[in-house]
Parts: sequence; structure tokens; C-alpha cells
Amino acid sequence: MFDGNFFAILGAALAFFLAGAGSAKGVSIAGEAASGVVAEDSDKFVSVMILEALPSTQGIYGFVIAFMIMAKMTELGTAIDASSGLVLLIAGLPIGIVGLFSGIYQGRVGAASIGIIAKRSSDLVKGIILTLMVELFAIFALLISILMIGRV
Amino acid sequence: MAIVDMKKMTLIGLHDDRHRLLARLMEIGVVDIVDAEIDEELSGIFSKEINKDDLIELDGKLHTLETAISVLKPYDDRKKPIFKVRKDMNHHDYMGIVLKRHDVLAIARNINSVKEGFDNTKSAINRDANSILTLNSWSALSIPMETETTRNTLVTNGMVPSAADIDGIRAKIEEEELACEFVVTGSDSDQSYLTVYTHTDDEQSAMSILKRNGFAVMSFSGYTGSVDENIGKLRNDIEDKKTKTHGIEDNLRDLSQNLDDLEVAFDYYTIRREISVTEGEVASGKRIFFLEGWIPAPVEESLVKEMTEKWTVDISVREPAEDEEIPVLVDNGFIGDSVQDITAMYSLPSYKSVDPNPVMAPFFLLFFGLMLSDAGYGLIMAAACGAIYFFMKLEDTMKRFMKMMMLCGLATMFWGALFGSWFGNLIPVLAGTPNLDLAIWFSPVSNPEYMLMWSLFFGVIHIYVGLGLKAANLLKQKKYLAIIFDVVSWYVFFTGAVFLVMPFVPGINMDLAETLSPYGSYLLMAGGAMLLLTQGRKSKNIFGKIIGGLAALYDLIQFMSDILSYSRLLALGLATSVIASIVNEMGSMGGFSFTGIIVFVLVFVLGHSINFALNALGAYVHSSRLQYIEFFNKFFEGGGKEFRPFRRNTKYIRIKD
Repeated sequence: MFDGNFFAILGAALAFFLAGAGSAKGVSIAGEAASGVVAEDSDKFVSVMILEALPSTQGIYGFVIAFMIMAKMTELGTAIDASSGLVLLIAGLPIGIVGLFSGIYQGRVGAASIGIIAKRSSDLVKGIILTLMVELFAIFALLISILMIGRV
Repeated sequence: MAIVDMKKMTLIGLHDDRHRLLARLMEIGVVDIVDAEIDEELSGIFSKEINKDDLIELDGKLHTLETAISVLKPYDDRKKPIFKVRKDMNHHDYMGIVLKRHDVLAIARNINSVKEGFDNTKSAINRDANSILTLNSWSALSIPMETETTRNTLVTNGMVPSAADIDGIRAKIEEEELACEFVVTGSDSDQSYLTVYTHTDDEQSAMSILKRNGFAVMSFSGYTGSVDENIGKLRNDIEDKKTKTHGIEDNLRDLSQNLDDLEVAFDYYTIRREISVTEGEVASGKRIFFLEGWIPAPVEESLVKEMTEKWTVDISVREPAEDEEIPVLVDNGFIGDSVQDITAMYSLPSYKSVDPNPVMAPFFLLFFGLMLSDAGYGLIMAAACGAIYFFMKLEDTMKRFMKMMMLCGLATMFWGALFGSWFGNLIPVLAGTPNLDLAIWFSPVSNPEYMLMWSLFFGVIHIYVGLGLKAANLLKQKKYLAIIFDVVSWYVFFTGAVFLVMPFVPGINMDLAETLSPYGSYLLMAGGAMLLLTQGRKSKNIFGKIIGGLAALYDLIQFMSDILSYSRLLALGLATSVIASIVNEMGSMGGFSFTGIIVFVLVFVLGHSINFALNALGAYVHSSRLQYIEFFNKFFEGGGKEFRPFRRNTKYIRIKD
């Protein structure tokens, strides 16, 4: 049962479900703050929506990696040896784990930035920049995962 | 073109002409009038004539019109454009409405009072509805509501909380042998409704027992007849009032045809108010007034000509002085202009620096394209935004945005074609040849390491250009030595670092990397030495100089992390194409049949729309970020004050001559 296929699939699953969970949590944190602002002033909908959407990228990255691991499995054929499978499992972890945490934390910065919009909607760009700072680490994690998959 | 040269204009005119001259300047709309500062020695001659009464009156009219416009908004059935744009209006039609502005104001007042009547009727309906609710609880009251006394008895209605012990009260009354009787007319979850009959002699003692149990008297003053009769009356009343509100609404709907006139009048009074405010900002004497303002150098000639030919004025224009805060107006070509709002969102460049827009524009557009990198998406975006840009009437900001989006779409097409991505791998999937490679250059999905190398390389170019702009800034400020210290030495230092790390970059040409790498350490050392010697030069003492130099070396880490940050070009680009491929594969699962094709079309439209929306947003914010953090950091001198000419800031119409 614990053959290469199992490990590889587990890697794909972890990559997506951790990163996706991180994004879900992050977007929901920012979304709650966003709804509060819209309740007060519905003209700010577009600004807060942009900030709310920012933490969704971790989920996308997890999705990409899960897909790339599965594409790699197709490429390797039916029987994948255990060591290749383990490598694919490990390759899924950077985006999975970093995606989980960076998604949540980015959501928190996003919610705080939505607080900026509530006070001064002209400062949208500053809010976006602050929120994007967290994103860089998810991008690095995505790259490391991609490069790791390339090593199999 | 870049940042437009500004000149300071001083104009002295006749006091009698003041209003008309300012109105004309507003029409031309090129002078940024400076709020006058009157020296002490001149304060006897000049003063600021702020006409408070006029302003209050204008504000009142504006408020009336604004309220009327917002009242009519729900009944507005004029065709509205998708993008909000002010209506063009020729001067003749405009003056036509301006002449009857008092009638328009009267209409506005009428609309507001109709609306007030409407609101009053609405709240009367609410009051009646509440009364009905109260009366419903008393529907079992069998005597006329106005009955309060007979010859020897008193009738009192009231409530006790539902927790009150009604049998206990009855027992207590009997125990004290009082001539008192009550019936429970009704009850709900909160309280019970009692009608109490007492002999006049026993009233006080009976009431005290009841009140101890929380009895509250309910008075029906104003009602006559039975409860049911009253409820019926109220119901009829509500019906009447509802008919009345419908009538008022029809009336308002009819009145909404005045919206055009109301809006024009609103803009007219806005203009009047603006002139009035400005009249208070210029220095006015008994016979003359005196104003100062910034004008863009290119309009100087025509403005001076018109002023001297048509008005009795003394006008002089001079170069700005060193210590003045000069407003900034940027003016660039077709491409450079498109991104000026992106820069302005960050900050306007300082007047003393160069305008980054023309240099930034290609980077912004190409980075956007790299991150969306799908020729199909780019094609749709360029076509849609191009159509809006060329064929729809738009306000300036929206027009620039559409132009930028159109150019972004073209850049996306460019990269998408290079990478062979047309709606992801749509063409290979449809053709049934999954390995078909459409790439003109190469496909990042199958060779991400190579793309990573290029992304970092684009980053190096971007940052080097940023340093180049710093040199341009220093050149404009005539700090020639600083160009060597603060730009050339960084170039040497960074190039050394780039050469050194080249062999570690995945996907790189190893021969080239290994040839260049040895030179890296020399350049790094040379550049480092230059920085060490020069970066502390502003400090007074020797320790400050050494620490300043060492701290500058630490910027190498900043530089490296800046370069790594460009890996997002690969990451976001890959995300787009991988998700696009997934959409195509999911869509094609149904095979080539009737349902299969329907499923394919649905999945295709929905999936690609979502993918496009998410990734276009990502490309937009990340491309902006690369400009703001990585690029601007190297040279940008912000804090410029926006050039705000005195002009017609109307809300609804644009007056054409």
C-alpha cells in the first residue's frame, strides 16, 4: 500500500489541502472585516474586495502544485518507486505548510488594511502593498515546490 | 515630455473686472491660483474679501438642488452609460438653463416639499399601523372605548405583566371586601389586559392593590366607539394614505423630467461658488486686485496674449524660485501617460526629479503581460478595452485606465504567443495532440527553471534601469559627483554580486556563468571599496563615515531579495497557464458528443472567466508592487504637489464653447 503512488498522491493532497485551508481562513478573516466596511459604506466594495481576494493565491498555488505532482505521476507511468514518491510527497510540503500559514497571516494583514480603507479609501495602494508583503513567502514556497518536482 | 515646466504668473486687474476675469480664467482652466499671503506693509491696501453671505446663500441653493436630485434619483429613467461620464453641453443650451435658474430652484423647492409630504404620510401610515397593533390586544373589550365612568363606578383599562398572579389579585380584592370587579379582556406572552370596574368609594384601595401587582393604566383618549370600529377606521385611513402616497410618487415621477435642468443648475451654482471662493483668495484693494498662480510654461504665451488684449491688466510671468513649492503636472506620450495614475497612487514625483512614467510604462505593461501570459486572455482584454477606449465616451481617468488595460492586453498577447499559451493548452486539447508545442520561444510550464532564470534577469534589468533613473535625478539636480558615488559604485557592486551567484541560478548557460563568475569577486570588491569609502561621506565624524559605509554594504542583501522577488513573474504566469490547462481538460472530459460539447462550453466559459479575473487582478497588483517597492526604492523622489488648475469642477455636465 505504501508505494510510490501513495506517497505522491499524499503529497498532492497535502499541497492543496493545507494551502487551500490557509487561503480559506485568510479570505474569511479579511472578508469579515470587508463586510463590516461595506455595511457602513457600500461605495468601498471594490477596494475591500481587492484586499479580500489577495489571500486566495495560496490556494491557487497549492492547486498548481497538486496538479503538477499529478502530471508528474502520469509522466512517470503506473508504478512509481517509493523514493520518487517520497520526493514528490516532500515537494508538496513547502507550498502546503507555507501556504497554510501565509494565507492566514495574509488574511490578518488584509483585514487590518481593510481598516485603512474604512478610514481613508485613498490609501488602497498602501494597504495592498502591506498585504502583498506576506505573499512573497508563498511565492517562494511555490517556486521551491516546483523546482523540487523538477528534480524527480 | 515628463514633468511640465511651471512658471509663476502675477496678474493685477481692475476690481470691477474681478468676477468676470476669474470666470474667464476658470473657463481657460490653466492657472493654479495661490491663496494670497498679504504682507504686513500691504495689509492697509489689500485684503481678502471673503463674501460669507454670498457663500452661505450659494451653499443653501446647492443643498436644495442636491436634495431634489437625490429625491428624484429612484424615478430617474434616463438612459445611463456604463461608465459614468459628464454630459457634453454647448454654451448656448447651458445659458438657456442658467437664465431660468430661479424657476429651476423653485421646482427644486417644490420637489423637496412634495418629498416632505410623502415622508409625513409614510410615517402617519406607520403610526396607524402601530395603533392597530395595540388595539388588536383589546379586541375583546365589549364596551365603547370612551367609557370611563357611570354614575357610581369608574372604568379603568390597563395591563399587568403576564407573570402577575391574577387569581391572587382577585382573592385579595375579595378579602378586603371592595366593590371592585375586573375582567381579563385579553392576554399575550408579555402581559394581560384588564378592564377594571370599581365603585367610586373603593377606587383608591382597589387601585393600590392592582398597582402593587404592576398594573399600568391604558388611556384611550381620542377614541370613540368599539375597538373593532376603530380598527376598521384606521384600516380605511391607511388605505387612503397609501393611495395618496401612490399619487405623490406619480407626481415625483413626472417631476423627474426636470432632472436635466436641476443638474445643470447644480453645476452652475458649483461654478459660481468656486469663483466666489477664489475671489476671497486673491488680494483685493479698492480699485484693483492682485493674484498669483502657477501656469504650465507651454501655455504662457497664449494666456498672456489673451489677458493683455482683452482685459485691462498688468501681467508678468517669471521662473520659479529655488525655495518655492512648485506643483507637478506630468505629460507624456501615448504609452507613458497610460500608467501615470499607477504612479500617482503611490505619490506624485517631486518637481525636482525626473518623471518615471515613460520609463516605468514598458516595465509595468510587460510584467503584467508576463504574469497573465496567455494570448487568448490578452486578445479578449485588448479587444474589449480597446473598443471601450476608442468608441465610448469616457472621463479622462477612466480613459487612461482603459488605455492601460488595452496595452496590458497586448503585452499579455505578446508573452502568451511567445510561450505558446492560447487559453492554456486549448488548441492541443481540441486537436487531440497533447504534446503539440505552439511556443514561439519556449513553454514555461515544461521548463520552469529556464523561466525562473529569465524572471530574475528581467528583475536585474528593471533594477539597473531604476538606478539609471537615480543618475538622471542627480543629473537634473546637478550633483555630478554623486552619480559616481551613488550610482556607478552600486552598478559595479551589484554586477559583481550577480556574476558571483550566476553559477547557482538554475537553468542558466553554465559556460557563460563560469566565465563571468571569477570577475564577480573583483567587481564586488571594487564596488564594495567604493561604497565603503563614499557612503558615509555625509557623516561629520570618522565613526559615522565608517558605519555609513558598512551599512551601505548591507544593502547587498536588500538587492538580492529584490531580485528574488521577481520570481513572482514565473509563479503567477505558471499559475495562469496551469489552471487554464486544468479547465480545458475538465471541459474535454465529456468527449465529442452533443452533451460533451455543451459541458465543454460551460466549463470553458466559467473556468476561464474565473481564472482570468483572479490572475488579472494578481498581475495588476503584483506588477504595481514591483514598481513601488523594487523599482521606486532605487530612485523615486515623491511628495510632489498636484497641479490643480482653477477650472470648472462640475459634476454633471461639460460645457463646450
